[in-house]
Amino acid sequence: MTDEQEQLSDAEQARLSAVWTALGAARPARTVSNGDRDALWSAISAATAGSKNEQVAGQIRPAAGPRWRYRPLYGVAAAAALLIAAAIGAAPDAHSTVNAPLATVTPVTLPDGSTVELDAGSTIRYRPGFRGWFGRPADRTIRLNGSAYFAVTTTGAPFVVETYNAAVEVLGTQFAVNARADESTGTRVAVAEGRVRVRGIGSPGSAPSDAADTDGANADAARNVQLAAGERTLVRHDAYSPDAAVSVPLDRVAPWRVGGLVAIDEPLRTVLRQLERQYSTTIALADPTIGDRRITLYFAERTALERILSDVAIMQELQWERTREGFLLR
Amino acid sequence: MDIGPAELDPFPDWTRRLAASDHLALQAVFGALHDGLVGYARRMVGDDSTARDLVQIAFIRLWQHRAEMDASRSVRAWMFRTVRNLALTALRDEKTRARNFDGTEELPQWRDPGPHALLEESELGQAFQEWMSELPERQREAIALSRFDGLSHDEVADVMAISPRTVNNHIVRGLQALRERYDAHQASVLS
Repeated sequence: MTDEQEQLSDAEQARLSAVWTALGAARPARTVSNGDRDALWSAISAATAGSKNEQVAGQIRPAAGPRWRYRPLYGVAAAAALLIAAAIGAAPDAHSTVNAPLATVTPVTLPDGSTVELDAGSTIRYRPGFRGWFGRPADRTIRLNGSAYFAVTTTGAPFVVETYNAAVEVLGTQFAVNARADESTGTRVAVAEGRVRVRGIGSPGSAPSDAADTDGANADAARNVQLAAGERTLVRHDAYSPDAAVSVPLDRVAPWRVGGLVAIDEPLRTVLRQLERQYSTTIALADPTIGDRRITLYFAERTALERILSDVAIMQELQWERTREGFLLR
Repeated sequence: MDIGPAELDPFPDWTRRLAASDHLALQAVFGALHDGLVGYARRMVGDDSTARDLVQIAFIRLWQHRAEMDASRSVRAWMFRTVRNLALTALRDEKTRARNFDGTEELPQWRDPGPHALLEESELGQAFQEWMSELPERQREAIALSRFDGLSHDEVADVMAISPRTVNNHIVRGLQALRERYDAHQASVLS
């Protein structure tokens, strides 16, 4: 193979850049659990603390006996380790990653001066310094799992928020995005100011035909929905196109910013998980099928969890009680 | 909790603190690289517990060699390179144990991460996995380190022990091949 640098035209670079972006869909998941990570750290910590380091050197081999094999030591340091990771902004991979700790809304300033308010237990990830790839302009792509409220500065470069099943392209604005891949929530987008364009990520082949046919002339436009201030949409978990835009009161765009909570026809399970993150507690269900019930809730500001649970219990004809770990609904 | 400016690259500072035997810096590097390294090792050796063993050993090596660390060099690249070497050694040992003396030197095969291991369970993601598996090994490795593990071209060059320009060429060639498959796929989906 020659060692000469490939000379690429702008058009060629742009096409390769598109493949590069799409290739993100094939990134293998980080399937490492917190328990596994903590256990591995405990083992490393034990092996590196104190003065016996040099002695250890010759003994370690991949196929060595059980002595140096990975030993899970679940649990103990989990919470502390998570907080430390958040405090130092440690990234689970080579991207810049910010994890918002439980029970806290975390403010983040991005490399371009844009700001993000990150809801409890949510994560964003982006290329360090928004560094472009291949000499391309800055890559302002944010990967989000969870809920975040963005105030984006205008730099001329596109600003894109990617969730597991949708991309939100910003046309200069403030907006909220909520998507949790692990709970199959779909992606909710609501705009407070300016405009964004939302599109599904995945194969258009199986896009539902009734979705967003506002611009039915071409297939690509049908997969996009533009949102203006005071509008929201949802890219459903099993869909590849956003629903048509509907209006949303501005104070309901990102209620968690002020400790509030909005759920519009969501599974009770999803709402309880949000409460667990917001209040850093555990809410168990005596009967798991209760979690499938749909519920609509609106709390404009931070409300005592007991009060919220009481409301939920009344609406769903359930009872709640305190347990040692948190709460139980039955 | 105020996280502060997220754009600052904390690695040079961690590296300096590591060299000064600051154990908290090791923990910080662990937090930043662990998931990525385990994923990388798993791609090479194919099983979880070996992957975690290799990553554990690599971090212990990092601590043992902390005094030699230079803040101007990438610790991330150093760790990926160490895990890569450990994985190649483990694979060679495995092969020797299996008495497979056909004399050919092989780089690890692309390990299918399995149906549930994709971040996006998308059709497109699975298609890309398949197309990746058809690329020459070096192109695949360069693309995976760059795209999936977020390493810079210089870091990929360091890990693979080749020049940054060769890394660039591997990535460009690989992407050109992927683009053909991708374009054909998009055309077939839209027709």
